[in-house]
Amino acid sequence: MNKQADKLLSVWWFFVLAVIAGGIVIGVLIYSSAEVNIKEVEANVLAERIIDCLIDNGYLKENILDTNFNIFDFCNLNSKVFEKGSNFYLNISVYDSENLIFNVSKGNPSFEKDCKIQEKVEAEKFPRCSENQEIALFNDKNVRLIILAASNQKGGKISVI
Amino acid sequence: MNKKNKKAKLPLETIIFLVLNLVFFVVMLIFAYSSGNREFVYEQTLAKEIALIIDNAKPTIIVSLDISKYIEIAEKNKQPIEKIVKLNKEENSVEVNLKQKGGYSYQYFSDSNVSIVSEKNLLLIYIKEKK
Repeated sequence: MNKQADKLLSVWWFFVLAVIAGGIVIGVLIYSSAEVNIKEVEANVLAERIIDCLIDNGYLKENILDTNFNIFDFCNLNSKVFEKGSNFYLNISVYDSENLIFNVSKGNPSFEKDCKIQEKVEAEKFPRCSENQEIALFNDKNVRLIILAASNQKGGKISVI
Repeated sequence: MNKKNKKAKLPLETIIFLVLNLVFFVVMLIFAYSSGNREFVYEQTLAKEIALIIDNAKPTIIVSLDISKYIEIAEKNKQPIEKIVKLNKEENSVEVNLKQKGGYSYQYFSDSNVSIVSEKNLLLIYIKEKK
């Protein structure tokens, strides 16, 4: 009887060890698969960079309405990063009272819809967005700048080969 | 005679039981130790930190970053210090390699002229205006 109880105890003991091992393995896997998410910070940095570049001492820079205005050259952004299938999105709208006087969007256009969804539902794999509004003077009038910046960059492992 | 056999069997069972327990704890310790040394998390952190510095900086500026803890990991993996951080100008990305194989890359959107120099425990990031 005593021997049977011993056997039962050792089987139970190994079951307990297996549960502990499972717990440790799951915990470590969760820890190591966690990523450092900076998408939101990146979207904020992009939006602030655009504001800094387009507004100078409360005045909207006049070059913005030039026909050959290029946002990449003007704000020192790399155009390749905003090409088709990009991990970034940028939309700049300038309103004079209610009229849209300037609009430009670069990067992945599908992010605009994703940003609206993201406002309502928390979705891990969706881009993180930053929408900023600024009032500036342009030709002695107040204009409203709306900047939407988004990032969905995950980064990537470098191939071993 | 029968009684003697019984006495001899008991310690063997106990020894097997103890050995199996020991094996279990050693395996668990090795697993936990090797998991704690995951370079991937460190590579990710450093690459993202550098990319954010580049995107946030106004040229011309030199930013110095203390990378002593990353150098320690790289030294353990026999990775030369000057190969820890590289800039891929074509992809506009920062590449961090704390081990000889593989690594992690992260893109930055700034078009500034960026260069990187490692000096002892510091990483100097030169961000200049593009000519």
